[in-house]
Amino acid sequence: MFPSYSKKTENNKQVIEQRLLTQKLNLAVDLDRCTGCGVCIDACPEEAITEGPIGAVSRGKAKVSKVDVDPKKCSFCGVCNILCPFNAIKLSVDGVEKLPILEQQGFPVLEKKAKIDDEKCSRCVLCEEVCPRDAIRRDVAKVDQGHKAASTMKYAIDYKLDDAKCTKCGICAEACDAFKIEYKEPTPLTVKRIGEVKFDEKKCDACKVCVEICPEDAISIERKIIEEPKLSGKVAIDTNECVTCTWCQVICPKDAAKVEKVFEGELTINTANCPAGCSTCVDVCPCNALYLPVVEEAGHKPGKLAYNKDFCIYCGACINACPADSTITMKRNKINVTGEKTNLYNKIEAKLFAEKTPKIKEA
Amino acid sequence: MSAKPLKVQNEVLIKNGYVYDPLNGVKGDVKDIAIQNGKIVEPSKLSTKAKVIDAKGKVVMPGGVDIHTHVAGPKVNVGRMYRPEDKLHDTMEHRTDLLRAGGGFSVPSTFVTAYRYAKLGYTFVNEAAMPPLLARHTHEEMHDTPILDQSAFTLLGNNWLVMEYIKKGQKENLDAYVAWILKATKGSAIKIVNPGGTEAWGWGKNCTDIDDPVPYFDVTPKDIITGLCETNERLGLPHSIHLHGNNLGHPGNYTTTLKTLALTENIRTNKKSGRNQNVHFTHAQFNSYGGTAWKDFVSKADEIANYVNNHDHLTIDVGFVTLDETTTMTADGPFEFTLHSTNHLKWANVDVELETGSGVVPFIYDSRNHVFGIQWATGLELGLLVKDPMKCFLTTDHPNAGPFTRYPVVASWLMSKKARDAKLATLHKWVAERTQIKDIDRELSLYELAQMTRAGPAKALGMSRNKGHLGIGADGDVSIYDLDPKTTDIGQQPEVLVKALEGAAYTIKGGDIVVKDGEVVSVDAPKYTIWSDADGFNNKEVMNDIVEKFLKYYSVTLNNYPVQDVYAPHQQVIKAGPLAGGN
Repeated sequence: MFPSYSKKTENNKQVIEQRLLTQKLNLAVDLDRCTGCGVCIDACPEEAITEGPIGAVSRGKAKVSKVDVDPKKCSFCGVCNILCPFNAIKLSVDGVEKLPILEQQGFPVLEKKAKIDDEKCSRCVLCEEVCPRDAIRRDVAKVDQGHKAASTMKYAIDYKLDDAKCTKCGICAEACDAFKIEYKEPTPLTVKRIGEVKFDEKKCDACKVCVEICPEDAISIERKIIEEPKLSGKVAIDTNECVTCTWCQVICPKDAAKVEKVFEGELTINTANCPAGCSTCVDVCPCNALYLPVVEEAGHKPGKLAYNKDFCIYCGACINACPADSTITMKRNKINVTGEKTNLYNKIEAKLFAEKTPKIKEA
Repeated sequence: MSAKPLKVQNEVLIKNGYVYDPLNGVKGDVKDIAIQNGKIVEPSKLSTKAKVIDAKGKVVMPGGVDIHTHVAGPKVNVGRMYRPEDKLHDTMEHRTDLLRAGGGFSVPSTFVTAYRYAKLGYTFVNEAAMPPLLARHTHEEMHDTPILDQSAFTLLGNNWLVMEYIKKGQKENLDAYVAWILKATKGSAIKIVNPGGTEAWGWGKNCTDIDDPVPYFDVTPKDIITGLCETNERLGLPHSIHLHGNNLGHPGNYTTTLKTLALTENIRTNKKSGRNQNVHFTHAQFNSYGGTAWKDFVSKADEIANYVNNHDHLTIDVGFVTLDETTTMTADGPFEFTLHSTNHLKWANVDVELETGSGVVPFIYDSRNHVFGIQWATGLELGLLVKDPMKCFLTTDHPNAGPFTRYPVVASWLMSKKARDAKLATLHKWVAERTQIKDIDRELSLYELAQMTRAGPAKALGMSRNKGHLGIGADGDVSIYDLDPKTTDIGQQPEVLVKALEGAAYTIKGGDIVVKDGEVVSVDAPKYTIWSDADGFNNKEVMNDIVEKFLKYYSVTLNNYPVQDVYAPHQQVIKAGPLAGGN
């Protein structure tokens, strides 16, 4: 009988399906990417999406989805797919990822402005380490330690050998592969070695051990840097994974990362209402913006909960996860999108702009 | 106190003793003392059935009053438990038909504590430091300490609510809270130990000066001392605040001591309380040190004694070092850790939630070491340089500076220069060089000894109506020593004095003869626990604060906190505060 509906979880994805006579519509929620923020719940025109046990799922105590989609209510419009800031929902038609709404009626899409200026970037590792969403693509060749580390630099070698001083003793060649001595053994006639010291500039990294070790002070080496040293390769932001938290921008020592938040707004914490000892909000925050303040010195009472305004993206996961009443209040006041704002979008935006705070719900 | 039958009983007549009764100005006169129904009465009131004690050629004094000793409670029992070797140093008391077995040289078990105090002629002793949460432990041990009347000082100098009220300047709330907790713990007075410092020790820190802020609470020892002193005087509690100062036991601490003593100079003493001082500074010997380190350590007892001589708002007790192997135990947690760090002997520590802390460390006052010799001299200097013995009492902070059983020896050092010089000759040469002890010729008289051990402490405790004298209406607590002051030159025969004081000829408690010829002969004397009830407040804000503290922070419930009456079956309540009609 058509249409038929199904829901199953496989490969850590919750997939709902509507099967028509000739067409198959799928909506898949990627459980690894979903944070339970609830943007899709507000966005769904059919009110088909409901909130699951977010804290329990993110702590691995419940093997269900953070959001639950009802396949019978879902119209497979794809608005949730478009507005999900975590790239966690995918609509596909007949097995191919597709968004008919964008093709037919038009709908604005989230505008994630996040990029790294290749010129300024020094290829360090800080942004990759701090990114809470694994959105930094750091494609830099691994550098061997020691001798070959000089390969990361561009330099010229100014090598001089004072032939008058050189006795062809062979110590430089013992110490370094860059030297090779071609000589004739001493004879009673010559008494000393006769020959030539060959120097291979390609093997030299200007460590100057030869200069120091030469017993006759015959060698001189200077390294001239041709170009500012920089690791080869590229660091970039994958905007599909990026949630515009700005961690990379804040930590970048070269001011190379530029990120604009996709949501803007305000968050306030009322610690008096926080029961403490729960830390669910800290656990679920996808941007590591919330934290439990630490005691800094004897007698310091740091408060129960705090957040760093720089990193909050006003996604709402903390609001959904908090088990207490009116602890955190969030209000979005801007969503950065590109494309024409349709009536449907404006309706959804109004819902997303509503002030949100956790409420204890009756069972 | 339950009403006694009117039947005349317990009649004792002590005839022809040399009576020393400083509160009534009696200086060794030959007098008869009569006891009827546990009270001193006119000899003419006795019936013919009265038991007659011939005290001819003997010294008659009121029962001894110990103002500061550690004999009951958790800290004492930790000392007993973790020092089984302490019993090896002791001739243990065997069980008899009358007496319990027990012992321990520096920390004797409860029954033996009572027997030994009674043998010294003491009938009233104060447990000096009772953590409020652990008050039941203290009362249970006092229950097993027969004969002696007892009271316990409630520790308040590091109490969270006390510090909060002081910080907020809520004096009325502080009054109500102090009254409540004294009642809840059946405590007799406000004890302050290392104010603020023990709370700081909760974080591993200390307040070494009166201006060091307490972590988080943001009050200073100075605020705590003055705040509690003012509360004490408003409540009119029988005893003043009983203060163990900051920076105890460190070279150079006499400056902290002088600053501390000056704090309450201008606070009016509540005269209804029956005492003259508004602060009692305890075991002052440990806070009278000069120098900057143990290497250049000197006594500054003269500075402290000079201050005491020139001011009337304070009394002190000494804390004489007896040069024994003993056990230290105090609510000064950081000090005990410092002590452990210097002598590396076993250390016990207990932090009591929201209230106080404590530490226990064995200590060997080795007479070959200059430090301990100078401590010995410092104590004696205090005892001898303070002119008025009504302001300076005999204690050893038992067992911190030595066990109370050494009181007779301490008395001999105070009363005999010969005894002092003999001891001094055995000590490190720096003792004579760095103290004045060899130049002090004063020898205390028996009258002055009675002031230091009876009249002074009783007066300072605000209990001089019943205790510490032999006037009509006083409790029938009398000690008789086999010592004839007319034929014995104590200065030349200190050993005679020691022998007499160590085993009283008679100790009479409430009219019962409990010691005869140095042996305990009865344990049936009435024994009372005395506490101060100043609670007449109906302060809802304070009750709410208490409820909140218990709900949020205590690990027990409020209903289970106060000491029930069953723990103090024989109690005497001293009314103060609003109950006594205001002050």
